[in-house]
Amino acid sequence: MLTEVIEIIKETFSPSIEVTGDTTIKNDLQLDSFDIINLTCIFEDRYKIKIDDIDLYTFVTVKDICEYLANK
Amino acid sequence: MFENISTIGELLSVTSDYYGKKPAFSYLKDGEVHSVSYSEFAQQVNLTAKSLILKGITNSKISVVSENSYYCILWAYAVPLSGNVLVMLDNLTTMQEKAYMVEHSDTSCLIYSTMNQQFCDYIKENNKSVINTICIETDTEAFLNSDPGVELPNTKGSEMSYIFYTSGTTGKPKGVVHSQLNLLRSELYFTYSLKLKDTTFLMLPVSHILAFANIVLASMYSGSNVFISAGLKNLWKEMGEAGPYCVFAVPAVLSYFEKTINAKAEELIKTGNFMDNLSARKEAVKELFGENLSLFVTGGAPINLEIAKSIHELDILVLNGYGLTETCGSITVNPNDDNRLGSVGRINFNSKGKVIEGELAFNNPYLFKGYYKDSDATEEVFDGEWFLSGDLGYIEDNYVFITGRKKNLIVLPNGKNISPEELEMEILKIEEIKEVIVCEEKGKLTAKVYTEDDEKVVRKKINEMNKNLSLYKQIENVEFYAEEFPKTASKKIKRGEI
Repeated sequence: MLTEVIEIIKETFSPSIEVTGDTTIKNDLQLDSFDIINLTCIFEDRYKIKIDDIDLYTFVTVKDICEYLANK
Repeated sequence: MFENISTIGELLSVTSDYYGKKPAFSYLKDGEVHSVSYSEFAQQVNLTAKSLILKGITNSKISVVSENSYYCILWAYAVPLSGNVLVMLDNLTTMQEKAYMVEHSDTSCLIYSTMNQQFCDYIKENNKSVINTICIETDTEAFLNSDPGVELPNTKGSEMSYIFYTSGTTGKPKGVVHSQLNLLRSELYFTYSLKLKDTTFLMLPVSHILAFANIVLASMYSGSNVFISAGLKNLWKEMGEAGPYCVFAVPAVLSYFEKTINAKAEELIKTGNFMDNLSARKEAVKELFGENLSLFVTGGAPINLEIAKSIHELDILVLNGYGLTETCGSITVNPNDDNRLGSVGRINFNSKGKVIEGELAFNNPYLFKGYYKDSDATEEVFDGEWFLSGDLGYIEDNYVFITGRKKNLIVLPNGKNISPEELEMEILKIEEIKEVIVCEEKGKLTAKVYTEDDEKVVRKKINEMNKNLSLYKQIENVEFYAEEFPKTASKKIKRGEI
């Protein structure tokens, strides 16, 4: 799951830094709220799930997204 | 005709008579546009309010917590109509913050969307004063389908009907009390400056005064159809369906729109059908927003003038407004026919403005009625009859210009106000951090940290802390300092020198 999520992030945002589980979405990747919404839409399509807006603030690192997706 | 409206009941009755079958609200559901006319809306709000009374829910504080939806707006009208007090909670704050507002406001009934089910369960467990809960998605139909033979309470509109929570400068949010009369008269005057027609696109949260008062209430005067967006995920599909005349946006959204228009224009240029960038951008606007877009109205934070000018080139006006929860939302707005870029707008006709020791102060008969259960805080923001805004600026020809803030409050481009002290107290719980200053840099919430420990460890701890904060309060950028911050004689950090 982690590798897949990292791949999606790389494909979507082409970050200039190396992305790992500990990479933070706002601090390291510098994604804004529109980028985060865009990312959640991609995950929703890919994994056929619904991510509530209210859950977005729990995503601080890439690992947090993986854990969330795994529990869905 | 509209000048004497003092209550929600009168507003519904007059607009229902005047605009009748015109759509008041529209939204997308299961891929189709649904519309509710002015007369249907009035009828549905009446039924819902009466059903509340029949259930014995009267003279109560009712908190509503929901993402934007038609039913959420229906409840926001029905609660004050039933004689209860509406407390609008910000859907996207943490459970702890929402629980504080429910408790502080003496809420006894909670109306919630299924997204907030977990919060509702938490409240039922921990707050025994909340005796009724209503789920918007599953329970609203039952309220609409009954025909209770009860009378609505008589009101002159001047008593407390609303509490909106706003960021305090010292941490705890403050409950801003409004009456129906305050809000309705303020919005009437707002519409004298800002002329709306056709469809207005609603994407800002209705828990915020800007969306609640300046869109959801004010549009009723103009006879505009409010298209309710369910959130950013479906934004462009909804925008295409709505084809709005006007979109209200905070500056962060405006810059997102500009980026999206430019990206779309680049795509169009590649097709080879456009001779120049400007015509490609104009076509991009049509494809993204439809053919009718004429206005962006912004507020909540300072706008980027370059972005506004770039949008003006597309024959779309960017009208900036300014106001606070305490002033019923916009107390100034640039009118359609006399837009002055750089100003936050003309002071509404019912209001007066002046500068007291550099600070902008306003006066009108419809300012807020005080902070709920906090008369000391209320006294602090008044100089006689003048409300002290906390913003520094000047007034020219009745147009207001903002130059800075007096209160130590950060205003982010998304319109959210943040108390740096509140976050600094939270960050200082991390033992490795000796000193911290929270500020805004390039639109990002930044923590400047003095530490003698490993930066990686500190970063990790800040990330952990972020998980317990509302999305908009999370630290987006950390800067490390190896030396103590300069201080005043009283040992306070000199914020301006870092």
